[in-house]
Order: sequence, then C-alpha cells, then structure tokens
Amino acid sequence: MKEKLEDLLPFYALGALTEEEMAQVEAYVATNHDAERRLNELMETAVSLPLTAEPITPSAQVKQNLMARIDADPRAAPSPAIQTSSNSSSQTSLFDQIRHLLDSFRRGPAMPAFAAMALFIAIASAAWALSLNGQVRQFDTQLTALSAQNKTLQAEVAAVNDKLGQLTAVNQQLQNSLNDQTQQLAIYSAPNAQTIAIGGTDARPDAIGSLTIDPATETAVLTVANLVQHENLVYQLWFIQGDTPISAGLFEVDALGQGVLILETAVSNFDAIGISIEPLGGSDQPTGDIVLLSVISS
Amino acid sequence: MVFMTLIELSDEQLMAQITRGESEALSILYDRYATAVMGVVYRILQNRELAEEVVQETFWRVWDKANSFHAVRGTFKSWMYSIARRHAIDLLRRQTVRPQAAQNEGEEQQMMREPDPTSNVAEQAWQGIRRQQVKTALAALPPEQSEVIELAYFQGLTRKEIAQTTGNALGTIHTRARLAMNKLRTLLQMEGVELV
Repeated sequence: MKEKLEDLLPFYALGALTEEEMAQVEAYVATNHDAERRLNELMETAVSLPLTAEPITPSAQVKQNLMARIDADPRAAPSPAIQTSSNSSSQTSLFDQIRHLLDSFRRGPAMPAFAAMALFIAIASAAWALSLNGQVRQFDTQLTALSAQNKTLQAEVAAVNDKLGQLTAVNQQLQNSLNDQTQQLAIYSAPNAQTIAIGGTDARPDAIGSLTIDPATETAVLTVANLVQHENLVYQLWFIQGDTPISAGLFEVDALGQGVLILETAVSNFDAIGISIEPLGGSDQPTGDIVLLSVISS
Repeated sequence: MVFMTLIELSDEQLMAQITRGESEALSILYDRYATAVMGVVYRILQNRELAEEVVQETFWRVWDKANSFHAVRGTFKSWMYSIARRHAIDLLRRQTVRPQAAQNEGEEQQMMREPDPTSNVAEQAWQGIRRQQVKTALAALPPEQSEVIELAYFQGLTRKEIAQTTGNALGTIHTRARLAMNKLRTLLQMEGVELV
C-alpha cells in the first residue's frame, strides 16, 4: 500500500488523480514527513510547467465581467482601496491606542509625564503617517502614468515590428527583382552575345520572342511579348535536338503578355527552339499549342 | 509601521486581503496571472472563447473559495493552476469543446504577440527567459518521460488512460512519471530556475 501511494505522488503534483486518490495521498503524507517533503518538491517542480505554455492576454471584457460579478457579491468590501482604508484604520487604531494609554495611566503617579510623552509621540506619528500617506498616493499616481506609457510603448513597438517585417519582405522582393535584371543586363551586354528572333506560329501569329545567348557563360535570357496570360496554364521553353524536345524552363507572362526567363544551362547544339502552353508544373513532352518557334544556328 | 501598496504584496498576502472582501486584491492577482492562466487553458482547449470563460471562472473561484486556500497544499500558484486546469479538462472531457485551430498560423501567432498591458517590459523579458529555461529542461527529458507529463498535465489523462494511450503497463507509467519529475527538478535547478 505504501509503495502504491508513493507511485501516486508525481500524479498528485501533476493534478492527475481522482478526488479519492488525492485524499489517500493527503492521508499518507500527513503521517509520513519524508513523503510529505517529496510531495512538496514534486509540486514545486510541477508549478513550473505552466511556463511552457505561451502567455495569451485575455480580452479586456473578461476582467470587466469578473470584477462586475465580484462587486455585486455581498462579501465584497466597499471602496476605497485598501491602502487608504488601511491607513485610516491604522490612524484610527493609533488614536484608540492613545486613548487606552491615557486611560491606563490616568490613576498612576507618573500619569502626567507619561501622558505628555504619549501625546507627543502620537502627534509626531500621526504627522509622519500623513506624510507617508501623501507619498504613497503620489507614487500610485506615478505608477499609473508609467503603466499607461508602458502600454502605449509596447503597442508602438509591436506596430514598428510589424512594419519592419513588411518592409523586409518588400525589400527582399526588390532585391530579387534587381538580381534578375542585373543578370539579364549582363547577358545582353556580353561581348559576343548572340540574339535569335523567335516568331509566332499559326496558334499565335502576333507573338514575338528573342533569345539572347552569352557563349562565354553559356547562359541566356528569353523575352517574349504578345502572349496570352493564363490563370492555370504555363509557358514551357523547349530546345529541340532532331525530333527530341528538351525542356529548358517554365515561365508566365504578365497582363500585357510579356515574360522573361533566364536560362543558366547550356544552350548550344540544338536544332530548334519552341514555346508551348502546358499545364501548371510543365510536361515531359509538348502537349499544348506551340505558340513560338524558331531554328537555332549552331 | 510599514505602508505597502497592494501591488507589493505577495500572492498569499493578497489572498488574506481577499478573505476580508478586498476586491482590489483579486484584481492585482488577475493582472499578475491572467495571461499565464489563459496560455495554459488555451493549450488544453485550443478554443479562445472557452479559454476566456475558464479564466474568468478560475479567478471567480479564487475569490469565492479564498477562505479554503489556507487549508490546501502548496502555493497560491499551484492552487490557482489546479483550479484552471481542472475546469478546462472538465470541459474537454464533457466533449462540449471541439478544438478549433486558429484560422491561420498568423492569427494564433498574433494572439500570442499581443502585449500584456499590465506587465512591464523587464518582467516580460524575465518571464521569457524563465519560460525558455523550463522548455529546455522539458526537452532534455527522454521522450517517453516528457510524454507522460504532457498527457497528464496538458491533456488531463488519468494514469490508466496514459497507460492505454501509450500501450504501456501502469507500473511503467508510474516509473516514467517519477523519473520525469525527478529529472525535471534536477534540470531546472541546474538551469537556475527558482522552484517555489
């Protein structure tokens, strides 16, 4: 039985016992100081567990409802706040004590001297109490003001952090765009850059495109225009060697029908270049209409 | 003669004020612990609306049962958290709660990022450090031991339910719980966490 109850101690601390089991443990530790010490240590450990839950601020309405319920309870003492009432009660009890003191020495031989001394002490103490009470009220006022400032600052910090996060995201987008354009410019301005015009097919006669190749880095940039923007389709670039199409990338166009694709793979030794419309994610082979087609000179 | 404002009183001193009907003392305790209680209860229920109801009910019971506090074992915090957990777990067990995930991770993170208007920045930073220390200690436990703590404390399972859930004998669960709590205490003390 003792061993079994020892097994329950951790669960008592974790709040995982029934009422009956808790009563058994209480009865056990009441007569076993070592067990009681172990239980207290377990409870000290368990009280740290709530810290693993992230704190969440309840809405203000929760406290309002709670305090309204308490204020309506007959057990609630009337205002003012405790420090005022405690000071009042302290001052009242002090004066009562003075009266009692005077009464007790009224009939004694040293009464006059004691009475004078007590009166002096009482007056000095009351003056001191009033002074401290004023300081307490002042500190409370300052505390309230500082708490309000603190709340405002915390809200401002949170807002600044949110704004910082947004600006960081925008900055990253701009940086990515700048990197792409820098890379395109490098290819266009390469000393031996070659540009191949790509014309539209019957499926899209108005489409135009160009492929600029930098032979030194074996990179290229494709630009297209006059294509149709599709919501659930994508354009796929193919390099065709003989009869074999090899995918070189996917891209989309904007509302104006314009698009850019940077190729970082080798673009030599192909017989033709084409662009087709494919499902999102692309295809292993061209399945949709080929809208742009041209031959590459090797 | 020492004059102290309410806010300087300890939890137990405030409870003594509450037994004399001082509602301001309850207000101070609420400001001290409402966010922490809400965090624990929300973790159990995963429902903000019901978690707020439990928070309100918890502090009402602190007020209502203040006269019985002196007779219970442990500190005010352990008593308060036991009230909150029991109420939350009761709701969970009655299956009146269907855990509702936040609409998106951003909403849940936003809820957790809202500043506590009653806590100063230094106190928040200190609590954050303590929180990380406890999490680190818990993470250092063997998984089968931390699992017992999670199931018992945050999911409200009984010993037998834990044994069934994990597929282990009751004796194994008892052993793991004992080892887990002992090791957790040692790790917390090594981290310098004050155990009160």
